[in-house]
Amino acid sequence: MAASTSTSLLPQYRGWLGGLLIVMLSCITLPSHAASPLVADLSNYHIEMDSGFNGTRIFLFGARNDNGDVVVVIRGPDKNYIVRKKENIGGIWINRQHINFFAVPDFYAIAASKVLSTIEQDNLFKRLRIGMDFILIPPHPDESPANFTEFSSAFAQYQHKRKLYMYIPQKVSFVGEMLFKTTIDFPDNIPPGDYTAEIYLISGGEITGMQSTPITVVKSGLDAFVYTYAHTSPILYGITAVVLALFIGWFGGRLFEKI
Amino acid sequence: MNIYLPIAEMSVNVFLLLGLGTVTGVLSGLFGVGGGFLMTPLLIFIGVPPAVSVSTVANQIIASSASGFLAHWRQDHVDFKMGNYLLTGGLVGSSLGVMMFRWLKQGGHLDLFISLSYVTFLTMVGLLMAGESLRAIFKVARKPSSSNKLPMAMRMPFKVDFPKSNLRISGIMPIAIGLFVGMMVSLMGIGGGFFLIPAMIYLLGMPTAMVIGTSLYEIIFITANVTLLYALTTQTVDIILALFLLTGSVVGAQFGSKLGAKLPSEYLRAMLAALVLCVAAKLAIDLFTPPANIFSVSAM
Repeated sequence: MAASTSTSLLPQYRGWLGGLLIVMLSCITLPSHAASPLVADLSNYHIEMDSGFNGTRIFLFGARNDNGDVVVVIRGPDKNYIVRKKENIGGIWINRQHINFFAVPDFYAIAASKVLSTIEQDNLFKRLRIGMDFILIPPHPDESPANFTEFSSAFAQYQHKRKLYMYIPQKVSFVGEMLFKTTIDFPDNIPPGDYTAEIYLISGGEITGMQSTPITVVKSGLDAFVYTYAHTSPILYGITAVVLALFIGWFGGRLFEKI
Repeated sequence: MNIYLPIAEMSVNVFLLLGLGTVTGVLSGLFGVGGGFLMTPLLIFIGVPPAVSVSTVANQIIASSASGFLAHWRQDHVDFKMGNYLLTGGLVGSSLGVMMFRWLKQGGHLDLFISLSYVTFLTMVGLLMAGESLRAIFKVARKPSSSNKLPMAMRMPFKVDFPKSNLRISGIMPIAIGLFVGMMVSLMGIGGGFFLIPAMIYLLGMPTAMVIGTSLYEIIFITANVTLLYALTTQTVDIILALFLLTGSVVGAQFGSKLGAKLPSEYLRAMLAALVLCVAAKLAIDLFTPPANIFSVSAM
């Protein structure tokens, strides 16, 4: 595939122009692949979060060799969540009902060249889980409670508030007939893990081109060290916490005794 | 200036954390209490998950107890034998508490349980202290107790000698007190001195001079046990958060104790009682106010 041959050249290019240039070059220099209906690439595949991490923006650019709408979906690592609903019992608000959401994406961003509802898609979005309506589906259709949507929209709102779910798609804009571009913003609280960027070319209710590219998000620096230490060697971590506190207590006591 | 807390997984302003540490430190120096009862609800209030708040405050209390303990030990004001009896119950109680904590968290009732325990416990202690300090201020003589009954611990079986405290009481009583306080440490994120000190004076009949040093001795080991168990089972001890709180509280405690030396103790206790009752009232009101969002989300 044209895009994969050009990937190795990419990391040094951060912006639009470099990327667009490469996509164009790959179209020209590799005429045998010109038939490939869709090629796309990202400005960055690897996000490192250190203690000063303030969020980041990734540029996506590509070319289509066919007519159709472009939809870009970024999914974060899967996670299990439990959503609880409080009820008033004797004046006090107590958690009663709950629904588990297994393996839901912890991050979800979307960009499209047209308003989603105007794209002819014939149940495609539901199958591919594109758009807010289809991210969360009942775990077992037969045993899902009637108020599933109430819980799922509460969850989506929770993620939206944390800037991890995007309600309104970003704009995918075209440069001429073939080239397209968009940006994806990652907030400062993105969960670390494996992400995928899926780029679809949709025309006449069918997928005419598709590409999937992985993005990795890792913690780095002291935070990452503490987090990994706590989770991989919990006994040593606990002992460190205790010894550190004992030492500071003793040291602090000695220090102020002299003053 | 923000710092990212790796275990709580959130960004918090450094000065807010140092300020929290200092305020609770001043209080602990002023009133001679650990300050956990204030620190844990405040951390939850700024958005630190309850599980992280409770285990991290336990970690922080190790340090404040250790420095206090050293001072009392140098003056030979620690009854180690009594401390070990309390500790025996305390280790069992705090371990049970950690198990209960996980069970409550899975059931989704942890936050409610923490609030209810705080409201009950703080109201009780606050009212007792308020009554006692107001009587002292207005010089109202305590009604003589109905009879000169011996403390309960003296009437129970399995008598043990505690030469340091000059006591011969049932060994069951300190173990039972330790058990109860241990559970509170792991469930509420407090040191437990609040309950332990009156219990040692009134239920065990220990001499006042021995009480604080001995309770600090017990609290060091209980909070260490709780820190270890939470690090092992839930990975919710945030060392970075603990370090910031510690730094603030070590400094604050020095100001607090200097300030405390200048104020009459009955007024101090009345002020502490008022503070405790305020925290309790705030938590009680929250229990009955309709929440902004009736849905809550947590990771599994």
